[in-house]
Amino acid sequence: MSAGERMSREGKGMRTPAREEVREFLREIRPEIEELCSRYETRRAALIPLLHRLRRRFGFLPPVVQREAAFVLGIAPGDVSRVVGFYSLFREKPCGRQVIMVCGTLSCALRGANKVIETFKEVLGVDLREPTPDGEFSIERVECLGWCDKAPVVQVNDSDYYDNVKPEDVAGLVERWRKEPHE
Amino acid sequence: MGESEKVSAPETVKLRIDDRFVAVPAGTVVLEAARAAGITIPRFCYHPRLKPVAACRLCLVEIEGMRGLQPSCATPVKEGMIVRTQGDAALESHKEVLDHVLRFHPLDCPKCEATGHCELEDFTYEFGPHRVSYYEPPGLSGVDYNEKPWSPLIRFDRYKCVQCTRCVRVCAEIHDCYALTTDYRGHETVISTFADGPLHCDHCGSCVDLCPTGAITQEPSRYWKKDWEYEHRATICAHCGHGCTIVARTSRNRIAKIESDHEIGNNGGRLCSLGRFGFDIHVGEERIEKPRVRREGRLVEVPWREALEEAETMLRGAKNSKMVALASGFLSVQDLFAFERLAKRIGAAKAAESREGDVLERLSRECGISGSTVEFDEVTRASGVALIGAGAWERDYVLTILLAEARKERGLALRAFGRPPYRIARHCVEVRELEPDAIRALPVGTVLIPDVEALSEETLSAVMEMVRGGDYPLLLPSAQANSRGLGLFGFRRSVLDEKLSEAEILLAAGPLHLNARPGGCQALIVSSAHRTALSEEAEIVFPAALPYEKPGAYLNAAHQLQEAEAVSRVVGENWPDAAIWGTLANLLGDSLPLTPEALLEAAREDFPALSDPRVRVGGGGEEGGRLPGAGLPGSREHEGLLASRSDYLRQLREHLERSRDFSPFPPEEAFSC
Repeated sequence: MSAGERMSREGKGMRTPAREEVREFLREIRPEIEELCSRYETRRAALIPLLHRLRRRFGFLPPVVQREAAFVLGIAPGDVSRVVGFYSLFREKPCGRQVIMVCGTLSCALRGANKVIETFKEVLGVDLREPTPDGEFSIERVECLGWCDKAPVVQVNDSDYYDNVKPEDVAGLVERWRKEPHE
Repeated sequence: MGESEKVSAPETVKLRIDDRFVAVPAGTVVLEAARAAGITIPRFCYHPRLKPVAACRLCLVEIEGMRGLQPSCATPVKEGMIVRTQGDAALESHKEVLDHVLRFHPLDCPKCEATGHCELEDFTYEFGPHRVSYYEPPGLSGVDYNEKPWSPLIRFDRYKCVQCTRCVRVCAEIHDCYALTTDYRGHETVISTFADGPLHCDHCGSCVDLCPTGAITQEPSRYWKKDWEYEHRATICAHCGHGCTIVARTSRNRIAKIESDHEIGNNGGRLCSLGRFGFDIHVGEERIEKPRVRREGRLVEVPWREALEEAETMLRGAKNSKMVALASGFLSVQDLFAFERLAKRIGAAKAAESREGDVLERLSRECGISGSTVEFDEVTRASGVALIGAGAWERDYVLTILLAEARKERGLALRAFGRPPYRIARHCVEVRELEPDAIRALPVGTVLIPDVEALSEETLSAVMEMVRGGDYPLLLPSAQANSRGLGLFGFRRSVLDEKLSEAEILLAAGPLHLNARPGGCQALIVSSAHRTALSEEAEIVFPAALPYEKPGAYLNAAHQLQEAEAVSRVVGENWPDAAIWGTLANLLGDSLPLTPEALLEAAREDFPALSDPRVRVGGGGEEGGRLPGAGLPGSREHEGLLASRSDYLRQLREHLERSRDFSPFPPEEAFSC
């Protein structure tokens, strides 16, 4: 992680970055982008890895980020927004620095995912997709994470899975994530 | 094309569709073959201008020997194929797809702009369902479905959208603009601008033409008349020298909107914002509606007879004065011919603001050719094209997007000399500074498109030299509708530069850049549709008809002589320039016929070069415009003198200025990659 990235953790997820800020970051990671592009036949193909990079830096992908990403790859902003709109892991609205994704599909639902979600909401005092006032967390119900035998499953940002999560574990987990945040 | 190069007739394939036997060229898709046989297969996403995507699933038919139903829009015909469009399976599937499309479609047809030319309406009526089975509220993805203006000129109603993506595809495939996109996925897919913001694009309006329903509509004609109440009148756009065919939809001789028809004209349905929305130039406070003559220092309105007689007296009494006749490139062939005859009769020097006449003269003297040596479609089939100077990509929007399309489709090698904007540069294999030596190094066979108005003497000479050798085809883009005609009738920029300052009498016809009378000018006679700085300084002002208001022929950049029809009623007491200057010439002893046809014939006799190949476009009753039968913005050069009068285009410019952050293209300073 570069110094610029560490310093910017404050605004991540909550604040729409200024255009200059986005450009500055893209300039900084330019060699990385060029390396990515060199792996594919077209620059367009580097879009998803680039979007992940931007997601890790800014948390969410507002239009200003999408547009600058498009111009770096020489494609149209609309081509970026359709990819961002297609995949649920790319968020266009503000989110917490740590997004708590609770699986709500069949196995997890049967094993009490709804209660886990409700408890997260109570502990953090926010609704789904609504960042906490300090911008640290937001909660999402997501589709199957593919760990059904250990339901209910929770993932935070790009973390490993937390399995067999019970409502009574929630407060402790939140406490732990506050101390050791996921990037 | 020589005899030996004749393309052999494409192979014909015979097949059976329902009870009919059809023979169509190989490669035709089943849907088109059915259409040729008079059989309707419903479809949304298919359009003859676009590549098939087989996405809407409405055109499924049974084909013997193939498992399941097949998309007829993307299945090429095969010899002996047996297609059933009327089987239960196909009819049931049409019904089901339409049922899904109608799940939240507002059935507000009485107040919908598209009623009467809506494909959803037609297909539902013919194929059902006649009762919608279920309702599903839209907007699960949180997108705003409410009808809203995308810009002052184009409106979008998401409830009425059937997600055929024709608009998205025509924008990207044909107009190279990428302003529209799809968002979200599956049954939540919506058509959207970038970030669902304002529409920042060329405003060519092709999305409106291609929309099968009333989802994308033109704002100016909203709530005026129902589609079937408008007349269709095909004519030629007079905003630039491409000479696109436009279809004016009129009611009581007023233009409500302009549409395009991909089956007629040299533009194949492509238009620019000027052609699409620049038709409201006839209205406004600045329009001149009566002849005016200067009396005691003030311009006063007088009857035509008085104004003409005053001009006659003035010209008769000025036999020995130095006279200049300055003509605009927006005048039709008839106008220019009448003006030319008058100039000849009174001995006035023929001047123009465009350099095209001088360049044409050099071309014919040095290279023995009379203008462009290729047609627009030949340019797009060439192996390479070189745009030389800024005007080469700014003057002719339709040509520019044709080149971009040819680059994407056929790998046309595009080269630009000068500093092209990103949109052009991104398609170029080579971008160089404007240097004669670089131009001389172009591969043989490259079509040269030089900006004749602004090129230096040195560069122009290099171009001439290359054309003379015979190895380089030439296309001269025209700045104005008939600036090629100006050249043909002998109106020269060099004459203007040399003689204007000493002109004692100046006749100025049509829209001009000149905005002050020259110092030594004792009498100024102007014909103009609008008040201009020049007209306000004149002794006599004749109110002129605009291109939409008069019939006339225009010679375009590719040397096609195209006849335009009058599609709008004449405002005030205005006359076409041909009538104004022809009458004046006749008062001075000439005997010009004053009908458009007779004037054109007379012009052909005097100027045999006019008898080149011509394309005639029908007016009046000709059907056009609707499916299934049916300058780069911001560039100042592209904004013609006529276009500056349009209120719609002014609104568009302001909108584009406000919505810069939604442009599909990077601002030049940010483009560093």
